[in-house]
Amino acid sequence: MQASDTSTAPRDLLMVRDLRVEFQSQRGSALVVDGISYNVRAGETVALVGESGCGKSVSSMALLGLLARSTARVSGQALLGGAELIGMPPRALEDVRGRDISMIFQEPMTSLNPSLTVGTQIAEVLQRHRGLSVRQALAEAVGLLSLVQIPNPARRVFDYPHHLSGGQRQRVMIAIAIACRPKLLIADEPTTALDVTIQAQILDLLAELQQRFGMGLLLITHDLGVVAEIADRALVMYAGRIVEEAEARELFAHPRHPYTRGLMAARPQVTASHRRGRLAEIPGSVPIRTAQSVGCAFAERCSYVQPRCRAETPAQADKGRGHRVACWQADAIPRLPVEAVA
Amino acid sequence: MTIAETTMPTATCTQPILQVEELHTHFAARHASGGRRLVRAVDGVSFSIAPGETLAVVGESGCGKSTVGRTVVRLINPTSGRIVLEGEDITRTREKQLRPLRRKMQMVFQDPYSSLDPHMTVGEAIAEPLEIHGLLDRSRRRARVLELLERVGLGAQYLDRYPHEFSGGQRQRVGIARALTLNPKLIIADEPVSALDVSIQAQVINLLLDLQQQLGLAYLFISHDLAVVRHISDRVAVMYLGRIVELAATEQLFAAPLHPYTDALLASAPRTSRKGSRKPLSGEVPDPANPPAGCAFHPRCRFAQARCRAEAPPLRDLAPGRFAGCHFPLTGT
Repeated sequence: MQASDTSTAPRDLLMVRDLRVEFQSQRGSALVVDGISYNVRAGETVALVGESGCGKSVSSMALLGLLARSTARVSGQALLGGAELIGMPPRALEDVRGRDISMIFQEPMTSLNPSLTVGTQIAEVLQRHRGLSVRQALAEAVGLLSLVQIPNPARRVFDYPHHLSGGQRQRVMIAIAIACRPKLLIADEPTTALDVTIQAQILDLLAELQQRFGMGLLLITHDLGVVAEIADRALVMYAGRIVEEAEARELFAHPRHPYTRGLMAARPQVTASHRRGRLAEIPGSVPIRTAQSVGCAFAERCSYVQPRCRAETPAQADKGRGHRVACWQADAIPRLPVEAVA
Repeated sequence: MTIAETTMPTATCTQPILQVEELHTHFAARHASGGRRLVRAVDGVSFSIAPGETLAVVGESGCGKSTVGRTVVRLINPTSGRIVLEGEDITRTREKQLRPLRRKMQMVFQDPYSSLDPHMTVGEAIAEPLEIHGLLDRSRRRARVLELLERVGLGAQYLDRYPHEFSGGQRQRVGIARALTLNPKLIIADEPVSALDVSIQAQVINLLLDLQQQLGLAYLFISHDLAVVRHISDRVAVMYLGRIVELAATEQLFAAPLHPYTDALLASAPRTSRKGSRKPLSGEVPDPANPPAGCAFHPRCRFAQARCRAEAPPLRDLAPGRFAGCHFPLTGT
């Protein structure tokens, strides 16, 4: 099932297979990530896109061992350059984080230490993973600040996070993340808290750094516009599963899954010819899945639903050129762009 | 004709529901170095809204759009200028006399969770404005609450639930129901769909459009999101550093912006179909306590010339219903 039969190309940097995350609580268990599989190649930007609660963030935190072991049960495989991340001892994982994989988040202020200068915080990573002296590390921090295009880097290394704007703080987080030239950068909603003009700057910066260092970039976002701007490939998640996967251009030209199509139609656009009036809605809301759930998680909200959809969870099927869809009705859905049918 | 006098071309003969003239809201802000400085959060803003019309105020964080909304409903006192609600000057109306005016205009916030009392059931929260204003007896209040729940797409079964039992979209529906309790004519909505997922956002936008049609509401719709604004508004005012830099009918503004800042905002918005490359605007919004001389946008403007650095451009009438505050407006080609 899923994409486990996909052969690994030599350039595959990250290979995730049948990743599952189940949360246990007093109220029962919830299957938040339900067997997802994907690859990220070196130099490639893969977007994991979906709405709140679809499992996109949780799945990437599972890769880095950032979920509490007491409540989250993680299974599956995640190979980074041949090393298995799932179940790796915490000590070993600490060496991997910041060196081979780095992660940046939506709100840099919660990840930065408010009582340390940004220079010190960048230097810490270099000291920890590359064994540099304080002096060497601070000198390199200045270089990194200039790499992320912060003006007057030699002065700004002595600034505290609260001296910086939201956009500059995110630049500092990026500097910390790329300090050791990781193979993979995971960016979780990196521009969601920023104004549009600053968002455009940060997306350009990420794309530029990625090209320069040949990093893999796993971009987690709710925003299809951001996907269109910088992703090579997109994985659409719904209720813990990847329901559609395609090259970004192909996805926007020929979305096949009813959920993907619904998302595209519901999204107001600056480019659409001015039509003041109702937007297409996806009725209802996302269900909570457990290990016992059967059928397609989108069935209750889907206008193409058939009895089979409620009885059997749809497997991913290859529709050609790497376009994979998990929908029993995929072939019955018009293959027109969303705007043409809306 | 001044800006405050203009409304929708079709509605010029009716009295505006809201008229704002030369509004200033200034704050004393403490600087990191210890000194106190004046922040002109709203620095001479004028507009009007016709009954049943939606005017969007759009801009990035710190541009003053939320302060405009809060000043208009008198949650913040204006420094100077005039706020006229249905012909009545409410700029200096005292707190006690404001109450009847609040029946005419209500506010909807981005995060209804922070504006709903967690210890009150949804039914109580929606009924509260009726109690405060001493309207309707107990049984009629209940009927009114049920009617409002129905109107915002929530059924009677939600009456006795608490805010934490609701999803974000449902809470925003409750926030809207509460705002509608007193039958206002104007709703000031401050980023009402910004915290919601796309599929839920579409539901709430549709609800706002439906309610406007059914009840003839006017909206002052405050948002950072150009795509949402394009969908919901009749006219758009773009703010930058406390001032309106462009004001036009939605269609015109999106088709051919006159102010370079509007143009840059449109170009920065992520979109799923793009022709040509995106040229991001360089730099960041300047410190509002220390705005640049001349045109506040000049340090980031591709077209800035000597005059822009020296002289602040007034908002000018450039075409029927179109205003821009720029010495060298784009020609729209």
